[in-house]
Amino acid sequence: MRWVTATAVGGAAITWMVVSSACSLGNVSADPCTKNVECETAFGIGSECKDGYCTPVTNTGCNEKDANGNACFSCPPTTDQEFHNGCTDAQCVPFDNARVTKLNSDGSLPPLP
Amino acid sequence: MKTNTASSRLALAVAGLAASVATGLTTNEARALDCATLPKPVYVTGAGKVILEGLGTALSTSGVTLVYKLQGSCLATDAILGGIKITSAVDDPAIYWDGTGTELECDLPVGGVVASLGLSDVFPETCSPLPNGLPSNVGDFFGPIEAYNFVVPKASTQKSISHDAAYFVFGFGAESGVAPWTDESLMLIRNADSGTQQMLGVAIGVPAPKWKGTNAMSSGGVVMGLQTSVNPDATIGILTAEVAGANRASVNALAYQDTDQVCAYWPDSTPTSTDKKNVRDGHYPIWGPLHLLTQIDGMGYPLDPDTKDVVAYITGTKDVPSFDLISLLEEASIIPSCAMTVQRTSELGPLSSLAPNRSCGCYFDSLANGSNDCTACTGPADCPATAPACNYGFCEIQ
Repeated sequence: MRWVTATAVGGAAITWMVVSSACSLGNVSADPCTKNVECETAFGIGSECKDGYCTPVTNTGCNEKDANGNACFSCPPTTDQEFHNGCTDAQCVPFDNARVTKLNSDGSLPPLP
Repeated sequence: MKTNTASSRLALAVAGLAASVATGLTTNEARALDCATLPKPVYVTGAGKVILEGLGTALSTSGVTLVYKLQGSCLATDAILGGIKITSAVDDPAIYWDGTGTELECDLPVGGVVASLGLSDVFPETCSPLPNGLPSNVGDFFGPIEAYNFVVPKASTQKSISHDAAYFVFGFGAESGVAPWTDESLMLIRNADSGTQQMLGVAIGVPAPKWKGTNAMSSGGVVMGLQTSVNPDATIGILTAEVAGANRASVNALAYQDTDQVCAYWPDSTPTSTDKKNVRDGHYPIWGPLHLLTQIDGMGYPLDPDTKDVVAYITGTKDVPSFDLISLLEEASIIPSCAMTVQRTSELGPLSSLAPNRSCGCYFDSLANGSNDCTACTGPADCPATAPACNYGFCEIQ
């Protein structure tokens, strides 16, 4: 995953990446994102995949790791993304989306037959 | 195929009535007892049988009889919105319960009767477009919460499914490309009028009429198919949490991962618990309230006084005399709204926080887990300032 450098959010993203202790340069790869979950996993809850790149996390103080080692949102949630990924001691098991083999090349879903 | 329109459902209902009359299976010939002779009958149709069974049993000694006709959620919605009469026949009776909980049968009036209460698992708009909303004389009261599951046989090695995987499995069938779910004969689905298929269809973006798979005809058929599958790993079905919970010995619910989730969650906090924690706090997204549809007055209250009481009992705004509805719901894997900390106002719409009046989260946890982290109480004086309300034996915020 890498941050966009030539778009409107590029500057902010780079600045955030440099100053944020929650982000490691080790997370950065040359692969563009196709799904929000890729950005959430790499940068934290609140990061979204837009125009092929991850947006910055706006509320870095609310991102932690839960008992499963996953990124989670630790502040009072207000959006579905925050409710869905709130820090919890509940068990979970990630689904390997590599098993979904017929996505469009941009990661979107093809229309139903 | 437009099997999910109100007009086609109306045609089927009318055809069914005509057929029953034509074959002589009119209600007054079927059995001796006329439902109308029961004490203060309240005619109810649709989903929610387990709730009505408990409530009907409790109310039978109070002089009110719940007379219930089972049918799909969308047909029940049509019955209230369109005034379509419910009918009974020899092989399709109306039922009620006596004070011992025994299920009994009775004949609906010849020609049918208009139900005063329709119970649906889904919003009316999910069944049929309502561009102007509900008619002004119909109210939609929210009842207990039902979660919906993708399920596999106990012997399956599969533990989870994602939104995208489910989209391909049930939208493309044999062409899903998502191993091991590529055999449509082992994809056990319902039909377009099923609240379960409607709800899960909204969740994964596959409209109910477009689902690929084998119609198991009923939730019992889905369970049977899961139990008897000779290829457990390739077998997948859909059930309410209520039915899945009642069949835990042979059915596993899959954890579900929505598009914005980094992990898949079960409805419960673990695969083996029954606390519905992840539904109650928003981690498991596929759920909705039971909808109680009835005619209302100008103030928005149910027109019929007995129906008004039934609505109040089921929605939890009024206690059922000498009956623990919360315990009944917990045993049935259904969540009373007073145990929720999230809410939504449209079908799988945005979540928001909920602080229910007279919260029962602690009591629900005690029933499900055998314990909780709450302070036990016999009155408000036993409770700390941070949780000053003594509800159902435990201190709650309100």
